[in-house]
Amino acid sequence: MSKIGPQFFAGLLFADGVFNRKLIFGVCVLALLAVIFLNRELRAVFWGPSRVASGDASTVRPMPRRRLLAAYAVAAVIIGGSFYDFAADRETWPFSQYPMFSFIDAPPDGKFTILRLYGVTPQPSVEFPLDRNEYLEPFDNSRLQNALERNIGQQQLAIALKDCLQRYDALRASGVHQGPVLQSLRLYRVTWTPNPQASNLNAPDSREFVGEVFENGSSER
Amino acid sequence: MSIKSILRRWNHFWFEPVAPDNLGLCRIILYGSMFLFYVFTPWLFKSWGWHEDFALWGNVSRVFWRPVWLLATLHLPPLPTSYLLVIQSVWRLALFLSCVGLLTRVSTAVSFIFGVYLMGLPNSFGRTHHLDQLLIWAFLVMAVSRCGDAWSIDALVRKARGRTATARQDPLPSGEYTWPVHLIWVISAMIYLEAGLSKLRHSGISWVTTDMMRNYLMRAYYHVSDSEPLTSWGLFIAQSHHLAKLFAAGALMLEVGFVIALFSRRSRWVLVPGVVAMQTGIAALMGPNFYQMIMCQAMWVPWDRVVRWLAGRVDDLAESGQHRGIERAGQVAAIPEPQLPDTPKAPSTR
Repeated sequence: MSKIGPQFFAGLLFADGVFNRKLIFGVCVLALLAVIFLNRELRAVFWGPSRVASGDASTVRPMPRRRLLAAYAVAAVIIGGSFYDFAADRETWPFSQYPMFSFIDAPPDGKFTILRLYGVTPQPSVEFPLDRNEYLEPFDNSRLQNALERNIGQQQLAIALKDCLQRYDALRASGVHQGPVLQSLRLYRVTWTPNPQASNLNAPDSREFVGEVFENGSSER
Repeated sequence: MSIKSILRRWNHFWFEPVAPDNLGLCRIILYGSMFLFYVFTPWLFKSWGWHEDFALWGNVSRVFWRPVWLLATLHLPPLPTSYLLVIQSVWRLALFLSCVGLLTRVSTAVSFIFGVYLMGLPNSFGRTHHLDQLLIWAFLVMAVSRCGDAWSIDALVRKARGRTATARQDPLPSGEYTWPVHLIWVISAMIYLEAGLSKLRHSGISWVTTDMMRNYLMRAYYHVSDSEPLTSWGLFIAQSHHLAKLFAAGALMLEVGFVIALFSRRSRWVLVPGVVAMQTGIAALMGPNFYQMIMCQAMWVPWDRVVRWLAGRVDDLAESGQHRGIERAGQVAAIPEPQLPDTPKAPSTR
């Protein structure tokens, strides 16, 4: 097959039988530009900023055409990329559909479940939540949950927990926090029904053990 | 309205010829505020400032690494701390140079390129936050723009070296100095619009009518956020179902309606402070701080007019001071010397 047949064009528009939105988006943009450039008057208006009226020559500096195109290109990349992500409801950082706080992800009573690390002290063995950001920075409570969630059910969970324990120890040694010495680190799935006093912060509805890692390197699941 | 007149208006919005002052001042404010922010917050605000120290990510285990799209596409790995320290230092220097306008072309480009990598790093460990995307786009726009043509060391050097009178003059008004600022406005409006529409898309009007906002407010005090709320007022608001819904409605209206600021100058007086207040409110009530986005809203201020107004005030004060001085001198001259009886006049020294 040395000729380009109609299948090629069909494939271009309907890649793998799926309506290819990226391509259609691009085709629409090109069509719009074609409409502008095929019309002489519109073309003149488009290039308007790169020309000056004869009377303004000494008071206004026109934009070179390549600069005009560069400005449009930057705007097209940023705005086009962002609207494409919005249309596709996906996030391809630094483009985004900005979905923060968009989802109603809790029942009417607001019950929610998160992963939380607890430190366990040696002699006497006391468990306390590692809920202050300085215990495990640069992770914060928001990022750490997602980062740990992705490793649950995998061999890597022990490595992830070990990294957290080492981080806690290193930050403690450097004086970033004044937390106690730990003998182990436990990961729980914790559920709360929030109240407007946050009075049950230390008494969650339930806790489900997920894994534990010890200072000597051993782990448990 | 014909397509031609729409295009004319379009051209006027993007490329109206203006002097380079506003763009130059916007450059100083954007890069200056970000330089101060990224250099000083890790020292001044211990509880959350470490977010702005990107070098800390160099010693985090690779098991957490899930690169964001751009870093994955470019196959950029997480570099060790020593490398990140160098990149971060160069980046901060570039922010400073961009602010003062020295080697502006290079420094703004470095601010953007290194900024993309550094800001992409934290987002590649666990979760994408949306604090700095507007800043990244603003850096890109500034890097492509001619923001160093005024209020910069480069401009001073160019004038000093200029051999002809034309070369020593300020650049003429041009569309070059309009589109960058207006593009940052548009990106800002787009981000808020998309954030508002995302809420409507995923939750509909239930986002306002249910207890969703109340739940978010309460949840913030269970240590789930990237930063702790600055106050406990969120819990107070959460005590009232209606008040929480009112906040939700206000936030949604601001986000969706912010785009009006592009077309109406009057609305800017309400909408721009409105979104700044909203984002400050999020930090106060729920924790996440959008300080970079807040600073980018400064691009809505016509800084050239502000500076002209300030300069006018200073001139007025100096002028009125001079007048007062002249008047006082006149008054002093007009005061007749007291005629003291039997007091001999001092002999003239002349």
